[in-house]
Parts: sequence; C-alpha cells; structure tokens
Amino acid sequence: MRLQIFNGSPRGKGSNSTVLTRAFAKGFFGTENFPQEEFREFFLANPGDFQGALQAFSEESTVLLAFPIYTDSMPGIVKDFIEALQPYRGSCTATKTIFLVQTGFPEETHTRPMRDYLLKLARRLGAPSPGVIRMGGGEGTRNQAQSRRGKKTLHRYEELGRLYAETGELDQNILELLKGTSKLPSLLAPFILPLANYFFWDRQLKKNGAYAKRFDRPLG
Amino acid sequence: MAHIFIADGTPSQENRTFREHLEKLREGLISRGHTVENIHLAEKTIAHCTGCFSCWLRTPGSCIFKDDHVDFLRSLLRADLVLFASPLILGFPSGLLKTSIDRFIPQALPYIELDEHGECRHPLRYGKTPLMALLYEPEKDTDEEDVQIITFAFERFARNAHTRFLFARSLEDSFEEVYHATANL
Repeated sequence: MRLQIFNGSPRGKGSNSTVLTRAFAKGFFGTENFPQEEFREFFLANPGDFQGALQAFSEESTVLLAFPIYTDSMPGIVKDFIEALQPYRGSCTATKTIFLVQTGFPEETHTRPMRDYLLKLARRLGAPSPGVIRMGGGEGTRNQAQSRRGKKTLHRYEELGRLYAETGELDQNILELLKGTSKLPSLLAPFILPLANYFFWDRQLKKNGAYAKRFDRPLG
Repeated sequence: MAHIFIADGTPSQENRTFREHLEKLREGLISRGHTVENIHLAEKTIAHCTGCFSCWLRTPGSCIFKDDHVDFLRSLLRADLVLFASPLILGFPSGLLKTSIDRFIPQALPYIELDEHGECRHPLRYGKTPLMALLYEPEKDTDEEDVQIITFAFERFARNAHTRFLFARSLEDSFEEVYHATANL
C-alpha cells in the first residue's frame, strides 16, 4: 500500500508537520525505514517539489496532505497547490486523501473551518477521504519530540498510521484526543498564559536582543 | 464617511469581468462619499510567509521580506473597512489573496491572551484592525455550503484579528448590501 505525504508547511523539512506526518508513516509501515517504492514525500514550500507533487496526487495511493493553520485557514502555498489541482476535478477516485491540520492554539475551534473546507475539497476532487486529523497546541512539537508530552503525541500519530494501514479508517478515539480542548480551564488560564508567554516568547526575545523592541510599531 | 481598502486578489489580469464589477463598486462607493484605495495584488511582489517568526522575535513588527506587502499592511492600518476580493478557486479565495493575508502576523504580538469568549488569540501591535468583508466571484459549482465555509473561515480570522467580518457577497449580485454595510461606518 502506497503512502504519499504532501507537506504544506511553509517551514518545509524543519516543520512540526514533518515530525507528525513521519510518525504517521512510521505506524503505517511498521518501521522507520520507509520502503522506497511505497513512500514518497513532497514539500510544497520547495519549488522543486511542486510539479512532482502535482503529478503524483492523482496516482493510486493514500495521500496525507498536512499543513499548519495560518490566519485561520491554509497557508498561501497550500492554496496555490490546491488551485493547481483544478484539472483533477472529479477524477481522483484512486486517491484516498487524509488531511492533517494543526494550530498552535490549544482550542479545537481554530481548525473547524478547514475541516469543513477540506472535506468539501475532497468531494470536489472525487477523492475518497477517510477524514481530517485536527491538532490543537501543535506549535513546538518539533522541539519536544523527546519530552514526555512529545513522545505521547507522536505515539498517537504512529497508532493512527498503524490502525489506518490495518483498517483503512482513522481511529475516532485518537482523533478526539488530538483535536484539542474546547476551552482552557478558566481558573487555570490566568496562570498558564503568563507562564507560556514568558517561557515561549519573552525568553526568545531576550535571547535575540529584541525584548526592548517587542512592542515596536515600525509602520507608525 | 469611511476609508475603504479593496484588496484585489484576482490572480489573472485577464479576468476582466471581475475587475469591471470591482471598478463599478469602487465608483459607487466614491459616489456615496467614501474614500477608496485599491491594491491589485497580482501586480505586486509578495513572498510567502515562511513561519520564521522574525517579525515577532527578531525585528518586532517587520517582516524579513522587504517587498510590496508593506503597502498592504499600511492600507489595512488606514482603513475602516477592508474588502477582500477574489474569485473562488476550488471553493476558496485565491492563493494570491491568502498569501497576503498570511503576512498579517507582524500586526499582532506573539503573546497569547483570552478573547471575550475565553479563547486564545494574539494581542494587536497597533491596537486596531479594520472591519472585514469578502467579495467573491463564484465558480460554476459554488453553493450555499461553500459560502458558509468561507464565511466561517473569515469570521474566525476577523475574530482573532480583534474585529468583525461583515459579509461574504458575490460580485454578481447587487452591490446594495455593500452600500448598506458601509452607510453607517
């Protein structure tokens, strides 16, 4: 069974999407050494991959199109790729298309519009879709792969891939666990957010010598 | 009277019908006393956001790409209302328009706060974002579900940008809703 990954992260190989899709592939193939004849990976941020990706999309396979949410929908490079699929309207009947969308915010509400859009897109392309993997709190996954939380997340993706290879379906329980919370607990949020802002943002601003300029308004 | 910014995301210079509709709308808005500025994004050089976070963490408020997008951001800051305009292509506005919208993020701060409904968002760098609306050219198969999906996505964007999304409207329809929405700005 063939798996083709279309990585729509503007960060390319160094992205969270890469870590997550490869974990899925590891579960799918049952090994980290993906069989060359059955696995292909395209990075849409790489102009050299674009044409090959376009050609490969309609081939018989399971496709995993993954991207982070940018301003509440797909990044521009992903939309450019989707537009290039226009000639395939209604004809991708052999392309089982799974989507993976992730956002840095913890709430699942941020990925809902793309869930709805992508399922409609699959219908337009004529592609059967096992579903949309949604993930809240996905920013930083690439840096946390060795942490307890990171390992747990990646294990879930491996399980998704393994179970999909066995059944042809995405496990609904795992999808629920990944999609994110409905809201941060109201009593904890006033404590969590300042800590997150300090550890995630202020420390990097200070490290870059940009902390004093963090509120700058260069456009006046 | 309001200052209205039309961000035209029509990818092809050859899409004359859509351009003509937009021009008529622009004239109608001016005749009602508004000031209007247009940017035809297809005529600009606008790089894709690479998610590098330099605009938050290294040069706060400034993108690493020194291209025409700064005009888009300045126009947003001046406007009371931004009218995003684009044909729908496979059910969503153009990649050209989306690429410009992606690079909104220097207008926000990296920090995370809760909005009035208790959901996470970023604070604004300049304290304001204009009201938003979308003018689209439908495809042959555009249906009510498409419009609902697009509206949902733009409502979420507006909400996270601390403003409101007024409407998504086909430019093949009457301009009355646009005029009505702008009458009280």
